[in-house]
Amino acid sequence: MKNIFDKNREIYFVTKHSKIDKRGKFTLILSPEFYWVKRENLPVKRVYEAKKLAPSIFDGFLPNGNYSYIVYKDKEAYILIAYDKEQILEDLSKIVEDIEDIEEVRFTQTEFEPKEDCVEVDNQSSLVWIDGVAVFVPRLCADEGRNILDLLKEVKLSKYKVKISQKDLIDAKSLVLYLLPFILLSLSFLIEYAIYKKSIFSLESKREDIIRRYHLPPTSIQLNSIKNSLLNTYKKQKKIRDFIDFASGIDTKKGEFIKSLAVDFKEAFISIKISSPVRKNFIKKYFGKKYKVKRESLKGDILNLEIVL
Amino acid sequence: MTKNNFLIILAFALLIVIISFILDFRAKKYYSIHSIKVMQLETQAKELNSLKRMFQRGKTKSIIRYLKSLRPPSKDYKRGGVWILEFSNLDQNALRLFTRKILNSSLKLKNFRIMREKGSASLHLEINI
Repeated sequence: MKNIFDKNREIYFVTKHSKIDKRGKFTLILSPEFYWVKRENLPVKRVYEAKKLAPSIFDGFLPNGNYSYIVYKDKEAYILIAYDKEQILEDLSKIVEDIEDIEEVRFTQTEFEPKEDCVEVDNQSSLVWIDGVAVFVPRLCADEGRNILDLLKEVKLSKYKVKISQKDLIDAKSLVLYLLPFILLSLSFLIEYAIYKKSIFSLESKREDIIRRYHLPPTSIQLNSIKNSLLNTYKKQKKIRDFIDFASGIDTKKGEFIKSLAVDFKEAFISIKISSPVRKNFIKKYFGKKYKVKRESLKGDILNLEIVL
Repeated sequence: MTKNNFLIILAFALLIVIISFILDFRAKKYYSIHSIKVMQLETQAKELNSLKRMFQRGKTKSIIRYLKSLRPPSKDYKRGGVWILEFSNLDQNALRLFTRKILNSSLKLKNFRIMREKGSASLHLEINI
């Protein structure tokens, strides 16, 4: 890591192994490890047209990430820089004390003019320019070359820079805070699910127990069929008994009695000996209260009624 | 951690919440429907059981045996699943006793007939067996 004072602002050259302990605002020039560069001759005239092509030029070349592109013209060719801002942020968070100290981030490619000689970065790496593209080499220069500090002294900052902020990064504490409601919510649903699952299991056991205990048929259709048949029988029997009970409750005068009574579940025939013809209407009215009198006839003192149940 | 990674984790957490919610919702719905069904099944089973017991064949036979022990029938035969019984020369008290016993029993009556003549009565029963 090298630095220089530029008016009030410090400029550091950083590699992935650098460490900056100082605080305060500063500018970082990233070594080529942090981004990807291509020099291409493109069949377009303007930079913005070349920028549109940048994603397809880097397609299949870059690792997964969310990339931004810087494109500028260098003689007849275009220099295309692809960088993943979030990845750079993550890498820089290990290099600097506080991300908020970084004023801006710049690229070796855009800040330094191509050099013919190798440039020494530290005691284990160097920079070389191959075909106008700055390349990071993890070994020392073969010949004693210039030092990066010399380059930083004479650097004239370009217009290409990237603003970064802590807001672009999320720390583990915030992550836990954000995830906590989700975890609690999910946990409550899963606990409730487990309780319901247990209840469903006991419900199924209860159902099987009922089927076994009452010797029920396996399907509800069969069950309903048996039940309906028995209910039907019950209703028919009730009709017969209700009528006999109702007929025996008739208020008879002296000399009056039921001569005959025949009942099935559809209809009833009743013959009553009446004491006088005027009693006919009373008896008819009595049965009419609950049943429909289908036919009636009076033969002497015998009143015959045909009743629908 | 980058925002992208954070969003992926958040989306994953949301997915877990959605899955657990769906599981819980389905279990709740299944339980609420089936608990009612099981209750209905139990009620139906009890009703069916009482109806079955009411119309048990063995019970019918024991009631008929009892009626025959009260008074020997003048007719007693079976025809096509129907037991025909006739009791003759019943006085008013005997007729009332027979009628009450039959009304309170679970005999499957097909036909019930009373005929009275000159102070006595006959009772004709057709019972499904």
